[in-house]
Amino acid sequence: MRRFLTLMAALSVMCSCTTPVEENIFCTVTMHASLPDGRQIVSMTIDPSLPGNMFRNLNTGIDYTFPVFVNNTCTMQVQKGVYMIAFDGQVMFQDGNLANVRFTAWKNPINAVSLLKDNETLEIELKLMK
Amino acid sequence: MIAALLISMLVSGPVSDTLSFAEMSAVRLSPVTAFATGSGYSAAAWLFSPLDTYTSASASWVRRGEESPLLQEEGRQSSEGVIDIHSLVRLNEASAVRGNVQYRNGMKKGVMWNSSSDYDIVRPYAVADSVGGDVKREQYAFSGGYASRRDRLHYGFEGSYRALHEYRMVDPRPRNIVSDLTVRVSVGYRFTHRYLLDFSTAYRRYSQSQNLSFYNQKGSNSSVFHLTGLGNHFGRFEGGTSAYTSTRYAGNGLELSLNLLPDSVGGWRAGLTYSLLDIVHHLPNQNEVPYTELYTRNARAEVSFVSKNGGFDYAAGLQAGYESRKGVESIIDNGSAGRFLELMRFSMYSSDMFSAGVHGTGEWGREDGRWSIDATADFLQIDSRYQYPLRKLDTRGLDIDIKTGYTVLTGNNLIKAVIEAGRYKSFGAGMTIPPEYTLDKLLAFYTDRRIRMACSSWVGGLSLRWEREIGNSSLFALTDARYVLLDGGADALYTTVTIGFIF
Repeated sequence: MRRFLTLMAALSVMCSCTTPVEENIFCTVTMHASLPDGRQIVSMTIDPSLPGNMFRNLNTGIDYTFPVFVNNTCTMQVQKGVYMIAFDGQVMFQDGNLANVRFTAWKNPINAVSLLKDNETLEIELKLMK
Repeated sequence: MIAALLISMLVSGPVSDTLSFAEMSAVRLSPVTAFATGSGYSAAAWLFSPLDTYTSASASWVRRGEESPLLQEEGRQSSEGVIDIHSLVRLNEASAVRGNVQYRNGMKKGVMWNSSSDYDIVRPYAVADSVGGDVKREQYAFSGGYASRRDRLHYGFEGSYRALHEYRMVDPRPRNIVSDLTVRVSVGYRFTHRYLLDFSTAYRRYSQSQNLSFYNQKGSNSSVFHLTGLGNHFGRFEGGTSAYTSTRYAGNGLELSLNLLPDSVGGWRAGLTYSLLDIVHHLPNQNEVPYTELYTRNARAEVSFVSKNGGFDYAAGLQAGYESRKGVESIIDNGSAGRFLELMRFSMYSSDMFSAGVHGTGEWGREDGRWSIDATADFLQIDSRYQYPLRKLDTRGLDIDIKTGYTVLTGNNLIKAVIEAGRYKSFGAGMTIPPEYTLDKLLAFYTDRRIRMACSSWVGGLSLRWEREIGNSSLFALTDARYVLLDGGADALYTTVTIGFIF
């Protein structure tokens, strides 16, 4: 009986796909935002209700809400995958001034960025809107 | 299989020189015989079944009507014509062939959230549209095998092939073609004067090609969804008239079984069966990229005892079964290289189904008139889960069913009547589906399913068979009706009418 069960298990493995299945489905993403003039960003908020603002899993279609960037940085957890990321946001500088910024580098499916490791870091190069 | 049918044409009539057609039919129709031959008879071991040479040809009309179906993916109604030819030929005392040809043609009505065929095989990875409708279907199935024994050794092989075509004539128009081939080999050894140990293995090749088209190129009021389980779907490939409406399922399967059984009807039986079927779902128009995989594993164990001596015959057994489905989804890249590449795979869906039951049957009376009773009690538990966003659906229940029958032999006539009563007691159903990640229509669909799963039901059935020996053949007619009444008031009716002859 033991040999029979061993044989069944072996055949089961033989019929399985050889590419391993990833156990951890989540990725912790740290985003560093920067402006062309290198100014420090105290905070940046992104309105998820604005059309065109997205942090979207290309395959599943699930949208994530951006957290607030504090001191140029934010961290969020998403499902590993390929993402379309684009937004218009508002930044606040150290002097209290506000400015509108835009990010569109990963807006289209063909430019979508892969987030496949347990921890990923993204450099978000913002454009200052006049 | 064709050889088996050709041989059956040459060797018509019963081999047994002591039993008439009607008496042979009484043996075949005996619930104790059915119990004994219901499982464990591999591609070789069926040589030891109590059945003699016979060929039957029949035409049936099978109808199913469900007011509140558990699986709306299979429709609310189905109606099919079935032509069935079955032949078993004992070539000599040591070898036999058998074959079966079946043709089915009919329609499923009110199919919802499923445009794929063989939903029970490919679920949850069905391609679906949100409108649904009626589906026409046509299926051909062939099987045949040879078995022989030499001294203490017995061996056999058989093959079966099924081709299914399903389609709809209005938008959205699925057109599915299924090809399902199984080859089975068995070998066994008689280790005592009456008991056999039988080992059987089978290989299965499954494929389904699917195309969902719209004649109205502007699309319709429907979208196409690639479902991934419990209301989730592959959002990337949904759309009205998108390029992602052609898919292909490719599967490979194995089966292993080990059985202990007697060389006649009476005696102890024990069996272990394990089978697996791996199906990869491809997008043919996107460089055949695989986007889901389904790994189905089945294990079954049973033990039973049959006593048959012509007086009070009885059988009793225990069985337990477990089915596991694991669903794997692919991360497909952004296609910037001009083709889609699989980057990673996740195990996202799982479904575990456990069943355990007892089955007992008894038969008594004289040769010209015998009573029978057949009772089963089965516990069933299903737990399904989707990993992220977390979705769950589970249920458990107890199914109790009792059939009482009377078979009378008068001259050249055999009449058999069976009445059935049963109760399915649901112990409830639980569901977790996040509305914020689920389409309203799919949420309503699964809410209906949870309510349906939580419903208990009563069952009543009646079956009548009449058979008359005419010359060197026998004519028979069978009608079977089964009525199910859910506690909520919805009902279902299953009916079959068959006419045929045996020669």
